[in-house]
Amino acid sequence: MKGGERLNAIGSDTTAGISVNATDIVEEPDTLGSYSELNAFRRQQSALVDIMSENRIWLDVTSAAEGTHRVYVAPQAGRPAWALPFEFWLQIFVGFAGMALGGWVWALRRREAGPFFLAVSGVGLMAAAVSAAIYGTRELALPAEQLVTLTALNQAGSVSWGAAIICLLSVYPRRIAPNAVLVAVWVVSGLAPWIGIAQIAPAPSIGSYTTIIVQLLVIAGLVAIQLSLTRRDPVARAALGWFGLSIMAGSIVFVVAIAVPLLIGLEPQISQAHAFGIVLLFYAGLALGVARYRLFDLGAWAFRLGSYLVGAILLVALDAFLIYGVAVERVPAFGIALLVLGLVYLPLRNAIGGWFDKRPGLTKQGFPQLVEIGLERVPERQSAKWQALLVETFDPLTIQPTTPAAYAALIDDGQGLVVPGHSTLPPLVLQFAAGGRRLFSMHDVGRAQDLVDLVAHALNSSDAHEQGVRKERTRIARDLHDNIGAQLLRTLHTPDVQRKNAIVSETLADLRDIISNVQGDGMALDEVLAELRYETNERLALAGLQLNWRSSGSPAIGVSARLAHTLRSIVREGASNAIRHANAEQLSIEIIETNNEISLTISDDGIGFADAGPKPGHGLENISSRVLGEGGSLSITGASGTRIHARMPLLEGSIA
Amino acid sequence: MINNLLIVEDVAEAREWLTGIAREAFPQSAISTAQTVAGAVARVDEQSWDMALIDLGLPDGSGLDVIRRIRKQTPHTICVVTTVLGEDAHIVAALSAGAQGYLLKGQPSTLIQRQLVQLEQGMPALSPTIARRIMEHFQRTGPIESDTEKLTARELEVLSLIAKGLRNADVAQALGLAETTIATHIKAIYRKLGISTRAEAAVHANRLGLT
Repeated sequence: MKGGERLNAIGSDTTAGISVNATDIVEEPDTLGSYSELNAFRRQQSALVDIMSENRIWLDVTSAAEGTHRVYVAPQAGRPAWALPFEFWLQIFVGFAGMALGGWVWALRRREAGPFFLAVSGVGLMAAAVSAAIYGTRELALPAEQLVTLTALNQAGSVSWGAAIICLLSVYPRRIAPNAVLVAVWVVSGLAPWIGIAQIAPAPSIGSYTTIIVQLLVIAGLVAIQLSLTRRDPVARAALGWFGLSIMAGSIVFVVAIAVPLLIGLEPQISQAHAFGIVLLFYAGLALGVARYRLFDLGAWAFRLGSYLVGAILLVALDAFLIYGVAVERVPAFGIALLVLGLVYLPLRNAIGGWFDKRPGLTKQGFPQLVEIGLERVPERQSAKWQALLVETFDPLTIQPTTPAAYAALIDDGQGLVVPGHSTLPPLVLQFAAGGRRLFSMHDVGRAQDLVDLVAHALNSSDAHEQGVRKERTRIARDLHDNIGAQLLRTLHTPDVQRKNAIVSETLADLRDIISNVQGDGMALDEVLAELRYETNERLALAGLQLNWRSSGSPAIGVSARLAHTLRSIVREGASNAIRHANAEQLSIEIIETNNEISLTISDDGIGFADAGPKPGHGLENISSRVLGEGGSLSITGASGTRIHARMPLLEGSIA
Repeated sequence: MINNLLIVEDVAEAREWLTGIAREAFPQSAISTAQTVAGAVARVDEQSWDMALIDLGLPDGSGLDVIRRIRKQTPHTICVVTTVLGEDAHIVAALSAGAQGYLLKGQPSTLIQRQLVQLEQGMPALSPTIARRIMEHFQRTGPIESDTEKLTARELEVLSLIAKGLRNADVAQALGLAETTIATHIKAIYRKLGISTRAEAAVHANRLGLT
């Protein structure tokens, strides 16, 4: 049949023709005005089914173009899946989704009454929706017995849903009714379908919808009672909020759009199939409750679990569809199914997960704030900045000091979040996240702990820096005292002007060492030696002496400013002696670094000195005491030219 | 031949001391002095100098500015930096700015006098520490666009020997080269240091969006 054509009657060669009217395709037979109409409708359905079971039937059709004419068709026993209308699939989806969601929550919380009743309500919804899907979207007719069974099933499902929700709200979040009352709810609700079957109500619509309306009123009352009972318990109230609100919203739409018009004898405002879509609202509220407020004490983990299950079901379903529906080979079908799942479902799952499970990381502003806290030296201001950061991150209603804790943790079921302290920062407890609009979650615990770890790191680093600066200051002070102070003292008390000049010049070199050694990790030995070699070479060349230099050792060795000074003093003294007194032509310097010890030998080919006579250079006395102070030894002989030999440990201890 | 010489030094005693050394090193040269950057710049604008001894820390600014001014006005002037402590960074900066050498004011007069004469003869001085810093500079600078700014293998060899404490003469002997060749290498190194430092500065400026 084409659009715009009108079916007047239907019949076959062996049976009488039946004229067809609008009542025959009514979506919900319970909406018919009286039981006699209902029974007539059922008889007509049976007759239509009889006709359609023939091999060849005729249809009387009226169209604008051809007027009234008769066409013959061969009815098919089955109905292909793609010919089923959207309403069919919607109701099937709602039925399965309701049961799956109920089962999901119950599976995770099996010992509790609330989730149990939620699961029962899901089964009721499934029964109601699937049966309605079958008879509501029939093409023309169904056998009377089937029709009776399905409508009864639909009714039983609806009242079970209502009864289960009543029981759920009677026990969750607060138990407000004893078990006896719950049993009574089921007994009363169980009678409802029999009213329809026995046809004892004034009209079919009154028989079936009165129960549902009464149930919805009870549910509304229960939501109100629970809300009032939990007014001092923000956790329970928050959990109930979305859940109760969505139940109410769904119920009101159902009552206003379908039940009330029917009861006062009007056409329903929306089709029954679409009304089932409203039920999805209820489940969206349920999901939100679980996500935000740990409804039924579930959290984000429940979603993760659920999403994997959905993924697995989708994989199997898609695979089956490809094999049986599209006739793809098994192996490629599985590959395609996996591919589709990977490309479509997983990203979708992550996007939805990300939406439900928003977890803002440390913001760009947060990091400088942490650094600032670390650099702040006044404890009060440090603490104030820390609290400001916490307020910015979690927006709690209150923030108070608490007893010390080792780790961030939830208290009072997420009403509060304990944030441990660190050194000058006191441990804190935050109450009521997001200005009281949500509870603290495990994510908040993780973020709080991250913040604490970061701020602890910042504080420790800043302490370490302070300590480093102090240590550095101590080192510079000691070097200044040991080297510069001692040298200036010597200068002050030396009568010889030339000597004064020499010492001052040496002091300047020492000062340079102290300044260039600001890092405090010592100077490179090879650099010190290179400078020494260069300088000695220049001096000797000026005096016409030859330098024979030999040095060995690893280049990575570091020496302290003290040791560098001592080395330089010895070499300078040796060179000065060779230039001034020895009458030498050549000076040999050998510096060897082995086993954390430095050995220095300076020898010239000059006249030397008698052991009894004056030792060369007053400076060597000072040098000798210095070498001893470093834990080394110094020997001077003058038998064949002057020979100075010094050994000094290169231990870390001498640097630090 | 040094006919006129400018000494820029703010400490009176050091100025007199340096003047004495310079007079002994170049007896026939006319010696002038300045105590501030402004005074030195005025002298530089006034006439051309054969040599200038410049202290880095001056009361009204850095001696580097004087060096840059001289480089611009009279490129033939031999600029020598004089410093008390000889901090590596300052000396490398001065060499980059165009100084041909540096003197440590703490050293004996005779040594400084000799170094001045050598500088006049075109033999730039380079101490091991500074050689080391220059090597580090070129290692750090990374790839530069043109090859003219990179050190050649020979130049690197010269630098590393100086860094070990060898004098120019010793380096020449070790490499089998004439001492004047070593001096040429060192001058090339100074020049490249200036180029690469300027290139580096330009890159930095670009990065900061300054040019």
